[in-house]
Amino acid sequence: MTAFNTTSIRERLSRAVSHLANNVYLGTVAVFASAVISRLYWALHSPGAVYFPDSQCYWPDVHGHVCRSGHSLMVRWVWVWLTRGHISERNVLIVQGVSGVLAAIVLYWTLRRFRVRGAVIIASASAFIPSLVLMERAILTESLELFFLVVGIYAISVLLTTSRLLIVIASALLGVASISLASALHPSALAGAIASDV
Amino acid sequence: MRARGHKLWRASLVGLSSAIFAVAASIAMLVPMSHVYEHRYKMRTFNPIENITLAFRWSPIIPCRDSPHYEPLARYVINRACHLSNWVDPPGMNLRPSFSGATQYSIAHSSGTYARADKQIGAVVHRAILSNVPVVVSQMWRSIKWQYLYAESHFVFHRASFYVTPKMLTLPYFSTASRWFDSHTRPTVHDQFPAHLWSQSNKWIRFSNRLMKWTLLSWVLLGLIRLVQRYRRREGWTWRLPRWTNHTWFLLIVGANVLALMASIAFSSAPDARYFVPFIPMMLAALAVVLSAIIKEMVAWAREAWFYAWLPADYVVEIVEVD
Repeated sequence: MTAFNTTSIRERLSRAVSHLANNVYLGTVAVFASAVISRLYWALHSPGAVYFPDSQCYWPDVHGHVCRSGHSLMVRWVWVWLTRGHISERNVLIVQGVSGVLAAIVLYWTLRRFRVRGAVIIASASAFIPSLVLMERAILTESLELFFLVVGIYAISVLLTTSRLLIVIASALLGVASISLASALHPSALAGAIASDV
Repeated sequence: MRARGHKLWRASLVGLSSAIFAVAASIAMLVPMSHVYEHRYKMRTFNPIENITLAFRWSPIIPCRDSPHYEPLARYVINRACHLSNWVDPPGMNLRPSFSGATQYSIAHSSGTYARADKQIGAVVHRAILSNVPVVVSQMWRSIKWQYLYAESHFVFHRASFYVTPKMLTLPYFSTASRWFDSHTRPTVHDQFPAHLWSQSNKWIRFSNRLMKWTLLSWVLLGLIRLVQRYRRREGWTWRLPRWTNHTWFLLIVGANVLALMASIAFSSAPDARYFVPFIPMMLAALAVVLSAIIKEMVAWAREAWFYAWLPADYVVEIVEVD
């Protein structure tokens, strides 16, 4: 009887730990918390925006202005849309910070789709990579491009791991839309550039 | 078997239609931008200075030819590019003169004749590229090797005031500056700059390169482990294509994206660490998937070894023979 109880407690404990590790909601909360903590840390210890020579192709009202390296006008349009028309340095940094947090969560969901062990740890750790946080402070395209690429990769992971036709179609549409948007945001760094260059 | 064939057919159909739709959607999303450029420069393009950039990128193969029909901008770009005869490091940095003040000035003062000048530059560049295909391929390969093996250029970031001078703020493009810098009307040297974050980021400058290498090496290692596993199971040293699992498809998609990025940079730009930053999560996911598969194989191997080790010898012989 005693032996039975011990096994039962062990099993229950093991199940509880496994449940906690595999629970998508808890995992999402953990990754969200890590990403927010990382951004708050850098916001308190190292605030401010960073500019690159190409930033002048994005933030001013460059309607029809040929930029020094022909950058996409799409970035400004997306900023205007996401800030609901109140485009400013501060609002753009907020939008990019939020996109960074969401990207970490979507990465976690992607890893879960492929049953990667330690998905929570990997996604949480990715939220602390300084170069990713720096890009969210930069008046450039990279952070939004990253977000749409991560969403695209998630859609591909759903597409590969599901057999339900409606989900297949929905994920294919989401993947196509997000990767297309990423390439429209930064055409010089994606496959589309080859087609437009030649 | 029939169900499997049906699933494969459906997956191929969805994959093919997605690919066609993706190309169409990518172009459709660039159309509004193309309209803006068409209105301004009287030419259809997604990138108005692509030919000027390519002329400088491939400057050592651009011939020094002049024509009385050339527009001043075309004459300036071709003359300047054709005198640059060396391939510089990092590969692609030949395009540096396209950023110069003189080039920007020439572009700004040729708006009326820009489309014609662009066409003339484009004709020279495309002819030069098509008649020097081996050189172009070898230079692109040099750039891809550089991107894979060497350190990238560091993140060059500054405060807004470093780039935006008071004189520039008088230009019409910068009329929205007061709204942009909402707390103050113009950038100053006292604006906050995340120096600590920037220096930490520079320490991580090669992270994407390492991710790329680790993923590739892990994939090779996984292939070797599977090959050895097959040999151990008495299937012999036979080469076989990888199983078309979801993981294989995912790795191929990530690999294709990264390769396309590298080829794109090699053709029309110069290596820069920030191009690879958006691909870090994608590569991280690919590496995690490969490592996960390696761990699974190793655990299966260890379990098999443990299983056979505890069986009596005659049982082992019998099982192996049956297997």
